[in-house]
Amino acid sequence: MFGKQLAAAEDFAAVRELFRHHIESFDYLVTKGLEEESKMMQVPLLPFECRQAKLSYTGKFMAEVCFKYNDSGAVIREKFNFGQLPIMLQSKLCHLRGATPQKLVSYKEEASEMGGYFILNGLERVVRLVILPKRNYPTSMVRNSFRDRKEGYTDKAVVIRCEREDQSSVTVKLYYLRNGSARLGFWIQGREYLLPVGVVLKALIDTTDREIYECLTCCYVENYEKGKGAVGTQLVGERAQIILDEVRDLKLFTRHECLEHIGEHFRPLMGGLENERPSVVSHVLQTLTRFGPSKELGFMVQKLFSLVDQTSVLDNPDSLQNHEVLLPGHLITIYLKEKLEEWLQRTKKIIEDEINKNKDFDFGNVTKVKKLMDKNPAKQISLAVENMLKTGRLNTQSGLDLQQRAGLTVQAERLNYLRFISHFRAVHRGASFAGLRTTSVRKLLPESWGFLCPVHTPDGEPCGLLNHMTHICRITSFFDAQGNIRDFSKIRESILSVLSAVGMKTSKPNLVQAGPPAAFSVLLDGCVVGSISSSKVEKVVAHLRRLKVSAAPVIPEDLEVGYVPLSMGGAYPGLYLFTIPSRFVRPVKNISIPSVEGQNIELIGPFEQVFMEIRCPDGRDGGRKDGFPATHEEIHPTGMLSVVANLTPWSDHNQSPRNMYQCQMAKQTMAFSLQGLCNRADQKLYHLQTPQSPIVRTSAYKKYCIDEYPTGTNAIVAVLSYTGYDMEDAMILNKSSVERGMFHGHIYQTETIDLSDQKKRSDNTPTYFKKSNVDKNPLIDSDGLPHVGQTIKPYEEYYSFTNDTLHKPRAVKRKGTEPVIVDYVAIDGKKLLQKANIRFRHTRNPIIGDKFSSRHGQKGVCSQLWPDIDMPFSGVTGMRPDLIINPHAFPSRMTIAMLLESVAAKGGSLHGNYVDATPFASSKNANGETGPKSKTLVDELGEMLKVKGFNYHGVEVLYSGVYGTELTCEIFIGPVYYQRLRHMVSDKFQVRSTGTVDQVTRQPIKGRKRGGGIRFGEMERDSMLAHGAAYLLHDRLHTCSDYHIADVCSICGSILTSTFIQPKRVGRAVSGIPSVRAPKKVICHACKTSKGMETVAMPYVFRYLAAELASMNIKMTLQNNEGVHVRPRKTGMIIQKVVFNANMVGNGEADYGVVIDTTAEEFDGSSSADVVLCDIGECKFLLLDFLLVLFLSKSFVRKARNLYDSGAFPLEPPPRFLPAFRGRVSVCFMHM
Amino acid sequence: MDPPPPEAVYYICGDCGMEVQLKSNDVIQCRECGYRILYKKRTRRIIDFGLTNVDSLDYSNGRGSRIF
Repeated sequence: MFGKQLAAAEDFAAVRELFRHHIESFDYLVTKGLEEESKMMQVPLLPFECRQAKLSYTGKFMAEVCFKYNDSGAVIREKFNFGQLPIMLQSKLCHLRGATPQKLVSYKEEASEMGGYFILNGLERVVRLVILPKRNYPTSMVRNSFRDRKEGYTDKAVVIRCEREDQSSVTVKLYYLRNGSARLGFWIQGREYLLPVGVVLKALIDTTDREIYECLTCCYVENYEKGKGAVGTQLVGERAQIILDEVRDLKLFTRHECLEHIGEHFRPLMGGLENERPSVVSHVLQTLTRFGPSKELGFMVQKLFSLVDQTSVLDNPDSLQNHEVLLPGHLITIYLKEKLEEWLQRTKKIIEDEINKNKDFDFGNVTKVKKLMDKNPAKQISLAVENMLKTGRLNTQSGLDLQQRAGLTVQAERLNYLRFISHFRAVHRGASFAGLRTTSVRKLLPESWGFLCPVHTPDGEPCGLLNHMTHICRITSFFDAQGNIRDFSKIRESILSVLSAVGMKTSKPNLVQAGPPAAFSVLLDGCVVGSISSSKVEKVVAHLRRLKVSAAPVIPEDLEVGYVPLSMGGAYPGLYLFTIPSRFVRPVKNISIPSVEGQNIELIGPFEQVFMEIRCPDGRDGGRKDGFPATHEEIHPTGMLSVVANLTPWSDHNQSPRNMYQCQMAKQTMAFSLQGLCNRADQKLYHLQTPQSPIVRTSAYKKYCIDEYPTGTNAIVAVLSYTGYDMEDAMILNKSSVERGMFHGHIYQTETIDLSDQKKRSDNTPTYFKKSNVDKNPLIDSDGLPHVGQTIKPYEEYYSFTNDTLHKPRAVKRKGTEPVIVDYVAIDGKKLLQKANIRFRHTRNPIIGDKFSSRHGQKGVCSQLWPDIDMPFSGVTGMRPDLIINPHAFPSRMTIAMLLESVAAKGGSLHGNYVDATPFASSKNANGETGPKSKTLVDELGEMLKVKGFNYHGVEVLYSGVYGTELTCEIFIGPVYYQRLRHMVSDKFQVRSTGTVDQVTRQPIKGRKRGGGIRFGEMERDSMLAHGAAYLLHDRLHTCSDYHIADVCSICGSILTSTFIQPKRVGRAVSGIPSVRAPKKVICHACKTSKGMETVAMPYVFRYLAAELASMNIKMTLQNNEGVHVRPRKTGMIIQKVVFNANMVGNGEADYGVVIDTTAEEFDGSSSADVVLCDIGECKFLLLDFLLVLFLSKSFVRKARNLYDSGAFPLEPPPRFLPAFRGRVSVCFMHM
Repeated sequence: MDPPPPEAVYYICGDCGMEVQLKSNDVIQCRECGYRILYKKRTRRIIDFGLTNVDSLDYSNGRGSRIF
């Protein structure tokens, strides 16, 4: 299986498709986004070397800066170095671009290396795809927050995200006012500005009021009122009147006056335009916000009015229909643009300052100017981009019109291949939605059919927010299929000519055009280009689709023809055409076109899909009526699934949550992670040593070359209850199978030691690896590094280093809890031996407690490694299972596909072939397309077994391995592909008897790494109480936690005032004989006597509590039982009362307090205390929390502090106590 | 007594695969191709595999007896 030839490049074509959008977007950045290409260095530094040496994979970023002083003088061009810009792997600037698999292997990469990520400090990071509102499409919205903008605003608005040529965008909102008018709002420099829409309408085009009026009211024609598709109502005219009146009230009559008006208001905002004419400012503003000619604005106003009049329904902002995606290249483009802009502004300021200061400064002297500009280092720009990619955080003032500023990049973990791929196919809804209480954003909507996988989303917190694209889904880009960059203006022109040829009325010069239902507005990338009469529009759409599919390049193949038909109060009608990049597209068959050999595959987008009739060959009509015949057909039903979901065999036979679990678990599988494992220095790598190719596989398995990175083992699984050790999803592994290598695995963990970092500490003497001449540590080789192949146990020294200030080399001990094997040691070239990667290998062969799973969401934990001889065996073949699972795993979970897989794999292995388990394969047949449809799947599989003399249903007679008797029923047994999950006990177990304790509370600390305990929380306490296990509770929470014996003064009741008196030396110590120590004497500092001293056992936090309370001027008094010293136990007195005094006057008398009548026995929490509450009700919680503090101490102190802050204690506390006040006394960790 | 002279350590070049012998204070570089990433050769010392067998690694209970 693995002996086959290295795969040819074509084999990976399907895989490459999955990564394409990442790479193409970056290519856009380097070819079009930046005029100047950055260049890699002369001596190539390969990605592999960056990973090894923990460097970043970057290229030099050069750009020309033009200088011009005033209007006179020639432009001076000068090249500047803007630092090292990170380069995406496999992009146009990458050394790996176009390399064959053979070449890639010689570069020490994977043969199937697809790139699409960055290497930063040796770590691989991917830019996360984030959903954005669809650009250049006006969306109607209802938000309560719109009402709060200003007085008179309603909650309705039409919002458009306008995109500039350079991918940066501005969101423009058109608000509806209660008086019928509208305001245009947009953000500049962190503030929203609102303009009357009439002013903007007038400023944008030289026109008359009458024309504007007609433009706004053209969607209303009396004849059509209340008819199908009518969007205008009578009110439109009145509103248009109001809009025009507003402009007149401002005394603005001509276009020029409007421009002046806008310009004057915005002049101070536009950097560098303070002295320009107002009309110029207006123009700049227009380009900034890109609200194009008036027609678009008119269209938005019409849509807004229609929303208000409820003649059209509002757009769903959570639907994929109105979404596009933020691609890595575009993100970097806009970020880079802003950084360059900032840099230019700052540079300009520096030069201006210099000119003002220094009159004879010669601007023509380039070297001088350059020197000056060094104050504002240009290299910072690339650094900023690198930092953005490293941390995923945008450091911007403007926010770049993005919803989120953090979490934009993630590390591309290579835990296994599926997880790695999924990073590139994942689409996140946006970090701002994660905190939202409502679940509407997470809903699976029908609009996302075919674009986002309904199965492949994590359960739990990110459920529905982190989606994955289906395997056929693509993202449009700046490159066409041939890899040439597109010229969108040309594309638009050619589309326009096609449209006018089929009868679109262009409305170039004038604003007015007919509206629905008589005619459809045609919007091309958000620009109103004309209108088409309703009778023609369907033909035009069909024509456009035909041209899309045809080979002629007049219409791009990924043009989105969003035809929103007329309806009664449905979506706002129109013909919306999109050519732009970063849209989702997917292929479907166009069945209205005669098929000429694959010439009918059309790329459709989520916007148009909603209004299309697409048939799915699942055997039914999908509720389609005869009146709306299907024009399109899905290529295959599996097109709705992601790559990972596609790998589940017969997933159509499983309950759907099980398929979701499988998608999760496939990504947690310990698999064959990398082929070039020997060249990797990842911090942690999981690796399965003995993987197999599954016998039962789907068509996607081969398509995406999963055999390069197999994820499991075909285990012989018997479904029976054998020992009882397979209860509750536990499973029994055959010990001999494991010893033969089944599920054997390793964790590779790399430690990078760079001693050159340590130079700063000492006075510049370099530190380097060296072995000590004196210590004969056999683990350290003579170069100061460990031997390769050596086992190192915890706390053993394994490398040593020295520098000139050290007398002898200092050895470093290994941390961790288990012995490891040194897998490799790589050293990195400098003069001295300073940098080394040491890779350790942790053995992770299956043991009890490790987690395994089949491909059907059936996970389980190994409960026994059962000896082979005791396993049940088949009566016919003598075969013993590798794995036993319990039959109870099936009835409620209904993972029928797992049963099918078992039978199919049995048949497949008997016949010696792989079995195709592509889901929905049979429904394809039902459609009458291919093959006879006589047999069911079970018949097919059962027949395979029957032919070879096995039971039709996959059951066999088994004999008990222990008794040798025949089991009373036949057992279902067959091979099932099992995955080993990465959760392993060896990495998780936590034990402790005694150990480190918290300094403040003296309770055990938390954390497995630090040898801490496990929290025994309120819930656990409650269950102990419920069981009446008082002694156990006392043992766990007190004896094994912060047991403490305190000296209490029974006279004053304080535990804080006791002090030791240093006993006088009784006799001088004679050498050899210890001196006799006088018993320690404890006295109460307050009472100046030792008479009342008693010892009491209590939790240490109680003492801490007393101290904390004292810092707040609250005195705590312990009162013993009527002053009688009863000693029922070894330690001390019974505390009968604990009194808190809030001593406000400071005279020792309590103003109020809480008295808790409690006894020592009740330290176990079984309190039935009488409670005496003095004075105020506020103290109630003091009381409640006090019990907690004693036994578990919740957040009492915080509350007490709040009480103090709220002024319940008007007296200032003695300041010297304040430092003692620390945050919390909350956790009680027990020893185990 | 003088310390024994430092033993040479053998490395393998990450690029051309040549064996490189380095003493302390030698420049870290392949003699053949000048490549600067070198891998240490696997040691030829006898390694006590008794430590790494299954029993001591799987943490059955640390006293040698295994739990079934």
